[in-house]
Amino acid sequence: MSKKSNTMRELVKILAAMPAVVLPVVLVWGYIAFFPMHYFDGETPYYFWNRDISLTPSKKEYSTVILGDSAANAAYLPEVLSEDTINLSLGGTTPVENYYVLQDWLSMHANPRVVYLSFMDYHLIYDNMFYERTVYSHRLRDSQEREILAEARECLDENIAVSDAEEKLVEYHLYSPRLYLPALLNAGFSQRKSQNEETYKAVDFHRGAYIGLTSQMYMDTDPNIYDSYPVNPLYDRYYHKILDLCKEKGIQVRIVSLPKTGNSLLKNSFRNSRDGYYRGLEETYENVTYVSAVDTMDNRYFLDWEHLNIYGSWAFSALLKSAFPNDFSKEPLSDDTVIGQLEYLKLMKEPDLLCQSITGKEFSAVLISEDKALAAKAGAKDTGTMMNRKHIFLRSEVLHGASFNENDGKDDTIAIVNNEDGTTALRLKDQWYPAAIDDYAGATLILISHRDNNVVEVRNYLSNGTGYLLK
Amino acid sequence: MQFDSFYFFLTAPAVVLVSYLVPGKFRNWFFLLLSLLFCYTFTKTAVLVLAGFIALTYGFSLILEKKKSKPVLILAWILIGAVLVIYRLADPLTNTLFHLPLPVSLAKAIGLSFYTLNALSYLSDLCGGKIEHRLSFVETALFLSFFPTVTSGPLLRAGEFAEEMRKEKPLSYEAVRDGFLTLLVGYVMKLVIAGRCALLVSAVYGNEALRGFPVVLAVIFYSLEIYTDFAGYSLIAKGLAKALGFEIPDNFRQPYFSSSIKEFWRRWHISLSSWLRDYVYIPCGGSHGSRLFKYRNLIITFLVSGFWHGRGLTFLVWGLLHALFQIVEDVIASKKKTKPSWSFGAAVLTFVLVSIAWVFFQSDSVSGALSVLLRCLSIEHYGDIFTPMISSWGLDARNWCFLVIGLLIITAIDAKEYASSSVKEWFLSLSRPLQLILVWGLVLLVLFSLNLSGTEFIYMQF
Repeated sequence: MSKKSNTMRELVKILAAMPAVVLPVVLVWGYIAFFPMHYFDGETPYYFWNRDISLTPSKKEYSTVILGDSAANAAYLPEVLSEDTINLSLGGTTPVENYYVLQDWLSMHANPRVVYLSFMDYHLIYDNMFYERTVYSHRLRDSQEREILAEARECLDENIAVSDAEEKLVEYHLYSPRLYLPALLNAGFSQRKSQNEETYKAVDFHRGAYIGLTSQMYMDTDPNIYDSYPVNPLYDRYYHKILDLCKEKGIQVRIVSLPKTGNSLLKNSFRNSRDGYYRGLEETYENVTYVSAVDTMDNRYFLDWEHLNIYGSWAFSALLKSAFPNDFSKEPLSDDTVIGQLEYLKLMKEPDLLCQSITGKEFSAVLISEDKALAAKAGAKDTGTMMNRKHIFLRSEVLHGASFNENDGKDDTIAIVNNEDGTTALRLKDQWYPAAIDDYAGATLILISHRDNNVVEVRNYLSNGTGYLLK
Repeated sequence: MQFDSFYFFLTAPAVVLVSYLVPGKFRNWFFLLLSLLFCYTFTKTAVLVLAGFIALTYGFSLILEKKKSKPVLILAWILIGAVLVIYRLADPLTNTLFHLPLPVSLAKAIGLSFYTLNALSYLSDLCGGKIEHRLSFVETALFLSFFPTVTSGPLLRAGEFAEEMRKEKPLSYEAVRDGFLTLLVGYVMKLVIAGRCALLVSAVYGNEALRGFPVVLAVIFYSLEIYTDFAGYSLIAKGLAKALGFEIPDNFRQPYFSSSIKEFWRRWHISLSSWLRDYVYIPCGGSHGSRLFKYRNLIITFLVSGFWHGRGLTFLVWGLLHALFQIVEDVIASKKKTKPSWSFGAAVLTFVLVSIAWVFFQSDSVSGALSVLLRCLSIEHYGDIFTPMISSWGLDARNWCFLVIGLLIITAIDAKEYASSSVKEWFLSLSRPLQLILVWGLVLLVLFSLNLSGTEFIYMQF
């Protein structure tokens, strides 16, 4: 037998044996590559949502778009801000990734009127998670990642322009088991698929808000010292790219410095350097406003040292809304938004925190009810007026609140009135909303004193079909 | 490119198959090109320094072939040895030797300590007449740079490797299969065991609060780590070479079953031990002469071994300990009339002694090593195994599971091989479905340990 035919025979034997041997590898690798939702950790679905929503045309137009990192994701609650706000911020990202998120968004959607841009300061200074989160989750396209790599090389960025960058990108693109096995192993036999699908739906429902949806509170008291603000050249370059893109599209930009924890110590060198950088951008771009109204907030408004919790997010969003009322549409709230707000409120065990932070008044009253009919009667008619005159800061079909000083109470800003027939009615200002209820629901009125941060009164009401009865 | 990198897994099967499509007369050139590319994936410097060595070695071989001149050989030893000494003594962080800057960053010269020894043995054998004909240029280059062995050995002997380079290598299913199986066992050792041992060792050593049992366990696991890491690498190299049609020598033969330190060195890093025997111990006089003379040669040999492994006193102490252990063994053995036979107790004692020496090998300083040994002696902490502290030892339940399974497999293989029966033959005697199930089991074990890959093989730093 000739050498050639021997070789062919051996080759056939090897090739025939190979599939059987590599079968487990193929199966595991295939699973990793084609079923990421089955094993990815809980944070990844919102990257997927971000990619899907950005690259899919939608009927709805959003006039306000939020960009930034996880701190921005936690801080901005679209449901509190307006009906046409969407939060496209992504955890672990910097202006680099956000430029492409905006680019993607603009390629498929109408230009928004305003873009809000917020990053935790360290994301502009220190290490980022470009490979570990952005590339890992396949949020960007290959061409975008390569463009980033090229820019990073020009800027001598050591985090992204690593020596094996090309290899890393390919390895991530091909779902190398080495990189994705930890998630797969951690997932084990747990039902991450259903959890991830739930997360995806929740993120979609809350229009991108995800990180801050917890009432967990940050307890640390050790000082966090901020003393300098050296912006990484690559991030600076991409900051300019975002602003250039917005300028080109006629989009207003608000760069908002996010609040830090109460135990943060902001040195003047830090403030001057940070503010100087953003003021510089403000001067360069006429479409840019720099906002740094709240440097710190109490630790109870944070879930950790950098992310606001649900109290902080709501308070921050409400403050922002009152500071820039024209950025957020007055469009009536949709059912989904109302339900979204209710979900947030359900997370809150101490609503006084929320009230106090927003109003600065002595007392707050919060009414929480799942009864839309009650809510509708409680005054969806004159939102703007009521907000201005009576400091009613939260208005929806399910939530009513008012804050007032002691003397204000005399004008019956908010009152529960017991009717002769045993039912209860709400009184807001001079209007009475008799409790004619269509369907079953309960309501809770919480009266909070901000003098000592105590809940003065909690009244629970149950609907009996015709009105509310004190429980 | 590490042997456990994604790209290696992707490219290795293709390289093996393509190599057989290259016509025989170009195959060595093909392997040389691959080897240089392989080095290039680490650093450009690695290729440059290697190229320099190839030229130097080839130049000396031309001279020595014409005239077997001892002075020329000595000059070669001085020149090549000097580079190795500089490499060892230089500060890799600052790239200086005694504060003097070096023109080339030798720290980036991957595999230098291995191919220098290969070069020295080749030139010595050529001069001593053990090799009749010198290697051609491409053979010299391939001998020094052969990619399966260039970074961490095993060390090769030019005479044997010349035959491998020159022999015909027809594509053989058996060779590829055997190569794959060897490779697979190597990966089990490296990824399933060594990777997890490393987690435990670094967690325990790094936690000064841990004393007693956990530290003893870390000492034991470091012994297992260095064995499975290096022997695993050697098997991967051997398996890869086998699949490419090359036979390279075994580097380990169940060293932890040894019942004496002497036996241990016949089974541990065999290619280095035999190199030291042939080019240091015997030229120094070997076992000839008085007992003191023999012990002196032993100490010199092990000090050289320690120096070869790294800069710092700890390596010299490690070498010295091994020499002293053997001297004590020799003294005891000389008083006994019967030839010592294998016993479990002797194997355990040998393992303990070797493990104690590894503490010095692993530590940054002698005082650090002594501190680890002192921490082992905290008897009051020996009950810690029954406390929740076990969770602070760097391994979770899943990793413990993988580690235990891996250790059982390798222990079974080693035990069978030590008893002189071939695991390969046993495997081939099984039915095809059973073979496949076993292979799948090992492949899955390795696959689910890949997240521990990416760490450097320990012996790459030597």
